[in-house]
Amino acid sequence: MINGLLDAEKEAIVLSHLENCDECRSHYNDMMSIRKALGRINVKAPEGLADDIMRAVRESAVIETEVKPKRMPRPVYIASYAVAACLVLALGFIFFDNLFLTGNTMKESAEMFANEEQGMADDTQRNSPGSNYITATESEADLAPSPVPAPDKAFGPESVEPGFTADMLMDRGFEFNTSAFAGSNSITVNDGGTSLEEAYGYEGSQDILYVTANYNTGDIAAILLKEFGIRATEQGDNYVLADIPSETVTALEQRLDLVASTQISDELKSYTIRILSLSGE
Amino acid sequence: MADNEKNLIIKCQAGDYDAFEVLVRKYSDKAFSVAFSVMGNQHDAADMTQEAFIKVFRNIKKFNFGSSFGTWLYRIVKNTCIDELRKKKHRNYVSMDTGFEGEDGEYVLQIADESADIQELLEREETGRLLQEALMSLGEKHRSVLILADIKGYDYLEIARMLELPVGTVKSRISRAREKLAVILKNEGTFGQ
Repeated sequence: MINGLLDAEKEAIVLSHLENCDECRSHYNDMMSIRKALGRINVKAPEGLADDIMRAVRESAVIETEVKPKRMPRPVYIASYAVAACLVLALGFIFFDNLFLTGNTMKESAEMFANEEQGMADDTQRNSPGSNYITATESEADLAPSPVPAPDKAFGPESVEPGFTADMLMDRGFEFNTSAFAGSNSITVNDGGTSLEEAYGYEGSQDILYVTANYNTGDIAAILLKEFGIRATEQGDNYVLADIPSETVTALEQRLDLVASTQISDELKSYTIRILSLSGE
Repeated sequence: MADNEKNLIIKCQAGDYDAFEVLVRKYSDKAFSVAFSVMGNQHDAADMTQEAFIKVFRNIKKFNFGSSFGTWLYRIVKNTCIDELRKKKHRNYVSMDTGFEGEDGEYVLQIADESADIQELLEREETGRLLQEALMSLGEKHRSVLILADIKGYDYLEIARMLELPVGTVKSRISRAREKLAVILKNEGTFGQ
């Protein structure tokens, strides 16, 4: 009714009711007033926005060119751990799928994981940070179209450093949910938060930009359903997975340990995991 | 995806600025709408739109045609905005510096009218700032659908596509958003002539 989508017959029924119901009439009038007031607001994109965007894109490319020779600072290295860590987490889901849904043994699953890892390392070799930069000075050959890697193949765990810990991630703003659902068989999966760019103070990593830009709540829900067969309940920005088997929680913790998250304290029985490289694309 | 657009993207992946400019001109208005729906003000929305397009250009080699370009772009715009909002929230700051502009220019914040009711409030001329504050009090999920529907005038299907939500979710969020806005205006609507 408020949106003008009812057919004439239904609209007549509603109007008839509104005539005789003060409460509904008041509510209807409120909603219509809000709609009309919002409709009077005129918001347009600033004039010349497209020109401004193109100017910024070109300037950005020039800046990229200027900073490119300096592209191996430690933050990149650390950031790639984070990405790699998340990739391992993401792979962990596949691993679990094999482990729990297909009945593979730990060893078989680990071998599968290792094989995937090798493939990923190969892809990473081709797609190392910086290799995809489009700059004003790259040669035509460099800029020739190339097969676009699948999102979850863009990173590899090859650079995971021994001793890399969850605390290191958390110190840099990476989100592990440390409060909710402690002690229960539940996991929370966050759909956003501090970007890795922000967390690591490193600007310009296209890989990081890409992963932060290519997931959303719908993707995560789809992934959980597809990979785990779990229907997640949305709660704020989190998806709550309650009453999942304790062995799944344990296995997930083991996966985290595999990434070197041994410093996650025992009381943390729920984790906010950013699924970075599974975009659902 | 139309072949023409696919060809444009392929050219962009080869570093063709002119091809990218075609995409920018085609999508910048809608991208701005998505940004505005999340940010709630024009200045930030324009900044985020620009930032998102820079990200898109930098990453377009990785676009794998798994979704439409628009879907990919809007997702990047939305996530860029959400990241920015979280940064601002982290700094305990939400930009309120740019008011909505009505037909007669920017609205002005007024104060004091404890007996105000919504319909009366909204019929006044200076309600833009009041609405802006109320909108910014909504969560991003409700604010975005409400702005796209009632301010920008997009239909449900278009909003669903832009925000990657089921149409049913769009409908229910719009209704819920209006109700929430009504509650906020009743509670906070101490504005007067």
